[in-house]
Amino acid sequence: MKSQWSLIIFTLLVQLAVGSTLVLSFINSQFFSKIADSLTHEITVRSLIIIVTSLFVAVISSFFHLGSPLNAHFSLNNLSSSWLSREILLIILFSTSILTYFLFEIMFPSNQHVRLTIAIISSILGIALLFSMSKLYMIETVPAWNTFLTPAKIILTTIILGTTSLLLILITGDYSNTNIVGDNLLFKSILHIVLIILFAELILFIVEIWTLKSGVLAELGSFKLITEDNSFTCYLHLFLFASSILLILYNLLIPGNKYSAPALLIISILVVLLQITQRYLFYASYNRIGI
Amino acid sequence: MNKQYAFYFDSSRCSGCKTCQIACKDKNNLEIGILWRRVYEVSKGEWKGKDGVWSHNIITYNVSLACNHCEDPICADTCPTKAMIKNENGIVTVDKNKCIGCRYCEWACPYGAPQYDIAKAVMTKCNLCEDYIENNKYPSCVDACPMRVLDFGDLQDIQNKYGHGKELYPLPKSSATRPAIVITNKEISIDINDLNAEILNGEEI
Repeated sequence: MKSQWSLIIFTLLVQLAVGSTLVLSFINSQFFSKIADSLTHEITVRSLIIIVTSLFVAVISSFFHLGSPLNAHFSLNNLSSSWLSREILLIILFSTSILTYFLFEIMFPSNQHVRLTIAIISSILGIALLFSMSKLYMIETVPAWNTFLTPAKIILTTIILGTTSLLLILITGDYSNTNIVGDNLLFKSILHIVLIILFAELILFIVEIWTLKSGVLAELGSFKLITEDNSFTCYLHLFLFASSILLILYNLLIPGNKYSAPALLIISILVVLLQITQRYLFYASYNRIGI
Repeated sequence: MNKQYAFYFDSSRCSGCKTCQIACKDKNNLEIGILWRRVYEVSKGEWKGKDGVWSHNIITYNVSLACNHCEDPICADTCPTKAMIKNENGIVTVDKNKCIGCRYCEWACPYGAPQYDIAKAVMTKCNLCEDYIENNKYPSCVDACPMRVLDFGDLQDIQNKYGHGKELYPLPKSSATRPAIVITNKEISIDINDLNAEILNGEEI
């Protein structure tokens, strides 16, 4: 399969948007009564700007994948059997929900319950979108994609990108005088979540390689595509795993660490690059049964 | 659906001349790089020498393959615009006025039937020479074959005449999409999961 950068950008940005929405819902549900509403509002608005921008760029990028985008209005014709049709519908619904959330947040910031309700609806639509994205790639004739690893990787990428997005918002905002980051507990918690997900992704990668190597024709073809035809990206992927895990462990294990912004920024960049190489290798592993 | 049209292919007598491939390309005026019918040269085994005597365990044959107009077409199931549909004659066709060129059908089809036309930016595929069939003619590949290894007709008639053979390396198991095709294998064929067999003319296709 030729390089699919438009799809890599699309899927990662959609996962970022859904992940950030899930994180936002969590923050709004857990913290709106505990921290100043103005602070929740500020974090929410900044997150929503990232989400809306991500969705906009994702949709534009998806059009670059199409040969005849002017026929795109036919894309909802096969909701009865095509997961791609369903994914397109859910993107539309999710984007509409997010835009509603954004407008409501700006125009009626004091209404916490409505804000939370829209956040939950957006989260549900986002999860449905991830489900359809997983099913889209679980094509029966592509053994490397038609496993539990596909939805597992999508879910983990979604959570890690959403968490990293929150981390970047906290790094770039001045919240040092608030009780969000007063004792660095929030940064520590975020790094723990990211670390657990990274270990999970590493385990899934090893399981994937081992499963493909043990398979028959099409699976072995995928194994060779990842480890031989794309060996550089494969080694880069492992390097990014090692460096991000080690950097996180270093920050967590130093006694009294203040979690400096540059260190957290480097961790965030490494995590994002790791998700990019993971998705690149996913598309590179495409090998269908038959001819 | 009234009918299910189907191809028959006799691998035991195919010489690999590729006349069928050329006839299809000529009739449909296909661009370079697009082959609605493809001829694969399949081989397994080697020559071994011992005490000055050479022997071999080679199995080799040709596979001429177009679209199999599957009874359970995965391309039509996955197509988001319903550009890819199975008509009343069982022929799977693509409507270029609806196709968005996402190539999802190309990802899914295990026979490589849907092919992307870069110039037209849409998917294209074998349509069983529908226009010929409407005028009671045979598809161009069938008529062109000098070895007479290709045939065409209603699937039931083809099965009554030639049997129910469908499995042939390198094609996938027929249970995947239930292709509307009947194949006669050589007496000695290659198992569909054989790791030591190969397609010799991959770059040509």
